[in-house]
Amino acid sequence: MEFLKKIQQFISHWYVRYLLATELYMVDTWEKVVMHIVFGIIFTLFWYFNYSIIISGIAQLRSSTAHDVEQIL
Amino acid sequence: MATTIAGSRNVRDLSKPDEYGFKGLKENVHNGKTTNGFMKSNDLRNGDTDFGISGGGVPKMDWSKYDTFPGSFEKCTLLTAALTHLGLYILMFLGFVNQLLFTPKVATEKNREVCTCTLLVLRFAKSAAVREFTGTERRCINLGSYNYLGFAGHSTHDEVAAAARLYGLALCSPRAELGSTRLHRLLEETTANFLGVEAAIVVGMGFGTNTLGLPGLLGPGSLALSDEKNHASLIMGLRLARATVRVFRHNDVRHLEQLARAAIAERKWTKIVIVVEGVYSMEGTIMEGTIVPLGAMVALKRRLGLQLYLDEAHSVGALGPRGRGVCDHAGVAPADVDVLMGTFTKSFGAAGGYIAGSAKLINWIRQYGHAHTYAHAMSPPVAQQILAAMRLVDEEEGRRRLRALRENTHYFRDQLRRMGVVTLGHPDSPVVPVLVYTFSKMAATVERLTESGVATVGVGFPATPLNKARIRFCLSASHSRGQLERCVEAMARAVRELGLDYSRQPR
Repeated sequence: MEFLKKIQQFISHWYVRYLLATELYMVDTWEKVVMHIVFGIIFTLFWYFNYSIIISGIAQLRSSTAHDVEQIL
Repeated sequence: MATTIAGSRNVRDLSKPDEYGFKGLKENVHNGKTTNGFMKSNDLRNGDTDFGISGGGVPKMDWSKYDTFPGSFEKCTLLTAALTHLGLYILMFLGFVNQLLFTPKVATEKNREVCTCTLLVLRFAKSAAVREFTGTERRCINLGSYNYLGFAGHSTHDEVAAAARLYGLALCSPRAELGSTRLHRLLEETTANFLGVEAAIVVGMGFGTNTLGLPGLLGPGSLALSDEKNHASLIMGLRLARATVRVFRHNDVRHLEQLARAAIAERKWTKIVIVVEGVYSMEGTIMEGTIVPLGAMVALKRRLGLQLYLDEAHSVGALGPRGRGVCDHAGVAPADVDVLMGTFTKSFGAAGGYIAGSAKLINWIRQYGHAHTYAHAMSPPVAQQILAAMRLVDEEEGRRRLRALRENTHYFRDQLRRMGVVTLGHPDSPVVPVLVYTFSKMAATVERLTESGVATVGVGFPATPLNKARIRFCLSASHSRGQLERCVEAMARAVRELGLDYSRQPR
C-alpha cells in the first residue's frame, strides 16, 4: 500500500508540474480538457508521422544502402 | 554649470521668457485655470544648476568614477523563456476559444478580506459574487504590505485618538480654503526638517501627490526623462502635465546621458527634468547601487544643467542609516535633488504624501499644483500619526527598527538565494521580488504560501512584462526572526513542490 501511495504522490506531483508548465493550473476544467485533447492529438500525429514516414524511411534507406553496397562489391 | 558651456550667449535665464522660449506657448492659454506650469516654468531649480542651450561643449561624464550598479538581473535560460512563451500562447488560444463561445467574464475581485495589518487574518468568501463568508479564517504573517518600519498598528494610537477627538476625522475642505490646521503646518515643518530641506507641502493622498503635483511643475514646453520602470502615478502625472516624455532604460545612466545630450541639442525645451524613483517597488532595485548611485545622477544633472525629480515613495524612512531615504543611503545632500517627493503610506504607516525642496518650489506648488487648492486636506489624525512616527524614527526606537529592517532584509534575501530562486534588486532593498515567470506558478505559489500561513502578493501582467510574473515579499522591522524562519520554511516547501529554483548562481 505504501508503494502505491508513493506512486500516486509521484504522479500527482508531476501532474501539477505539467499543469504549471503549460499554464493550465489556473483555467477552468473544460479548458484543461480541451488542452489535454489538443496535446493528445498533436502527440498522436507526431507518433504517426514518426512511425509511418521516419521509421519506414530509415528502414528503406538502410536496406537500400545495404543493397547498393552489395551491388558495388 | 554656466561656465562650462561655451559662449555666454548660449546660457539663458529661463525665469524670464525670451524670443524662442515659451512665449509662443502663452498664446495657448485660454483661461486662468489652465496656466499652471508653463507661464514661469523654471521656478523649481534650486539654484545650482543652469540649463544650457548647447550641450556640445560639455565634456562627457566619466562613469568609472561613479557607482552605477543597476541592481541584479539574472537572465533566464532559453528553455524557461520558451516554455513561458508556449504557456502564454496556450492561454491566448484558450482565451480566444472562450470569447468565441461565451460572453466575456467580468474580472472578479479577490474573495478574501483582510482583518488586521501586521499579522494578517484572511477571511475567505465562498465566491467573489456571494459576499457570504465561509467562516474560514487564517492567521498569516504579512509579507505583502509596505509596512517597512512596522508603524502601522503601533502604539502611537493614543496621540492619534487625541487628534481625532480635537479636530475630527475630516476637515471637509481643501487646504487652501478652510482645511489647514496647526497639525498640517507642524507636519510640513517637521517633514522639511526631517529631510533637511527648506520647505515641504503635504497632500492627503500618496498617488495624488505625483499626479497632481507634476502638472504644476511641468508644461507642454518641458521634457521629462523618465525611467522605464517608473510608477503609474508618475506616468499619469506626466501625461496630465502634457510634457513630452522620453524613457530611458532602467537605471542606465549612460542611456540617460545620451538622451539628455540629444534633447539639449534640440534647443527647444524650456527645461529638462529627470524623473526617477528611489526604490522601484516592482523591481526592488534601489535606484542604482550602494554608495554614490544617486551621486551619479546628481553629477550628470549638474554637468548638463538638468533638474531631478526623485520619488521616494518606498525609500523614505526605510533606507539609509538615519532613515532619510535614498539620499541618506547614497550620501547625497538633499538640497542637490531639486524635487523630493515621497509618501507617508509605507514606512510611516499613515496616508498621504509630500513634496519637499526649496521654499520657492513649495510656494510654486502650493499655487499651481492642484492638490493644495482642490484636493481634500489630509485627515488630522493621519497627520498626527506621521508626526509621531517621524519623531520615533529619530529616537532610539527608530534606530532599532531601522537596524531590524536591515537585518531582516539581509537574512531573508540570503535564505532565498540559498534556495536557488531568482531574486531581483539591491541587497539592501526591503522589497524582494522572486521571479516565477508564469501566471500559473504565481497563482500556485501564493496559494501554497497562504496555506502555510504567509500572506504575500503575486504580481503579473500588466504591472510587469508579460513573461516576468513574480512574487513580491516586503520585509518589515516588526517581523521577528521566528516568523521569518516560518516564511522561509514555507517558501522552501513551495520551491521544492513547484520547481521555482531557476537561479544558476552559486548558492
